[in-house]
Amino acid sequence: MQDQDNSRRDFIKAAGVGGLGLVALSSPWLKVFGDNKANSKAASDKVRIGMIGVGSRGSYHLNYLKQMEQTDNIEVIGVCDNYQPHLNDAINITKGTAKGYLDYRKLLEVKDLDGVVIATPLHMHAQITIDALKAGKHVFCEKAMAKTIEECKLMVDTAREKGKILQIGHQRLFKPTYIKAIEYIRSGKLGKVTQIRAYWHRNNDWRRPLPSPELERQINWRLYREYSCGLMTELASHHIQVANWVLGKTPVSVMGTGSINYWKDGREVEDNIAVIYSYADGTQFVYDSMTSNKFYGLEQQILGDKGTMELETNKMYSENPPQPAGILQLVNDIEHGIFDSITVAGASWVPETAAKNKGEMICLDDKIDEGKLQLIGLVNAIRQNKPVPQLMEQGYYSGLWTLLGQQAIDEKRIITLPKEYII
Amino acid sequence: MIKDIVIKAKTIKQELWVFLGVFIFAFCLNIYAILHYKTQWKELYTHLYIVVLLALAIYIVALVARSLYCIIRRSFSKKS
Repeated sequence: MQDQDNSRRDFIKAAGVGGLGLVALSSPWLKVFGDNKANSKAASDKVRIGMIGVGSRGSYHLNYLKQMEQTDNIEVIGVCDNYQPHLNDAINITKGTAKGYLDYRKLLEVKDLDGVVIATPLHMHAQITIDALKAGKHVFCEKAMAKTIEECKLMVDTAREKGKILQIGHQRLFKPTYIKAIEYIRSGKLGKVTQIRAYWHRNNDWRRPLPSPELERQINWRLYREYSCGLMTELASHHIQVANWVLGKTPVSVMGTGSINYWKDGREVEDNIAVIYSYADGTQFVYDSMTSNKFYGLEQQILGDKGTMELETNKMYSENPPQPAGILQLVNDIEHGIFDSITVAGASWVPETAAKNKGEMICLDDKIDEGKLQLIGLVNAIRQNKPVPQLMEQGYYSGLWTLLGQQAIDEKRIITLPKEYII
Repeated sequence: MIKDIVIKAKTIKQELWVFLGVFIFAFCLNIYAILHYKTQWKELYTHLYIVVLLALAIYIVALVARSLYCIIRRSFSKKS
């Protein structure tokens, strides 16, 4: 485990501290792994973390943080949830070393708490984040950033005013495949990128089992507009962030549509959506999500005039792949000549179906856990006591454009970004 | 009683010559393919294993054809 952790850090360090390298320019937040100059805490000082919201996502983070207690000199000193069963589970994960809180404000009063990891339902992100920043704590908040664009802006303003770290949980920002892909794209390997496509398809009702019916809205909060924007905020925000990162800019407009056409079970959020983001140079990001077919799963495709990348599956395809060896082509042609059926008349039209070539891997070392890396990054940043370059901005614009996409679906019109939200 | 099969040195030599001929033919096919498909000359050695496999395949096909020819010829000579 220790060796694995070291190799992870070595990879990111090698990728992130190149000074003027393409990676340093396109993923500047990786510098957090290379800069050892601690402003506030020596490496020997413990970083004390609190967890707010310890449901499914929160306990995922909590497990990583507990592992990091052995390797990164941190301590989880408090866990908080307003749902007692989750709180009990979290205290068990910490083997009773962390104190349990039902009210996050009590946790924020703990003096030697350095930062909090927030993994609550979306509608609580903004208030808890702002309260934590005002209490002088650094914040890691799960994506999507917040439920309204006003809240997103207020979170950024507060973080800047207080000089504290605000990191949004877009783990792909730390995934070696994505870091390598962006490096290749910036070096021109895909040529001119004119379209990005992404989809996230599932075939389930997205419901969690209920211990009792009155907990429906609390447990299945993703399905109700009071708490969430459904597919846009919970899934699409990941791929919107990557699209912005790939293109190195943010969209200028978005249009979209969505409906409830399958799961008519009382939910208030769409069970299918399709949105198109446009960038200033005419590049498009086309995204769709559905919950009644999972054949294609999820993918994000970067389409350039020299090649294609499929980031979720770590594959890269050239528009003009190298041809096979001559002798293989000859054998293949002879084989086709003998065994192919004889056509009476030539085809008048050949369907332009997808090219079939095996492509190549974008990143050979893809077994690195980005979920943990983002938390290691957070702890390093807390030790250095300074915001990580561009990290908050990535989360902000992703959150913002996610919500504007939802607005486009709701209002059935093209939405642009109000100028006062540019940071 | 099981009969011993004796393969004479002459036969082995003859088969080695046949295989050499087939290998040269396959090698020439590789040269033709490189010229025809405009691929790289380094395939002469990087894809030598394909040439060997191809030579083996042609040799086996030729062996079957020669064996059949011998069997047919013998059956005709017995009748006469």
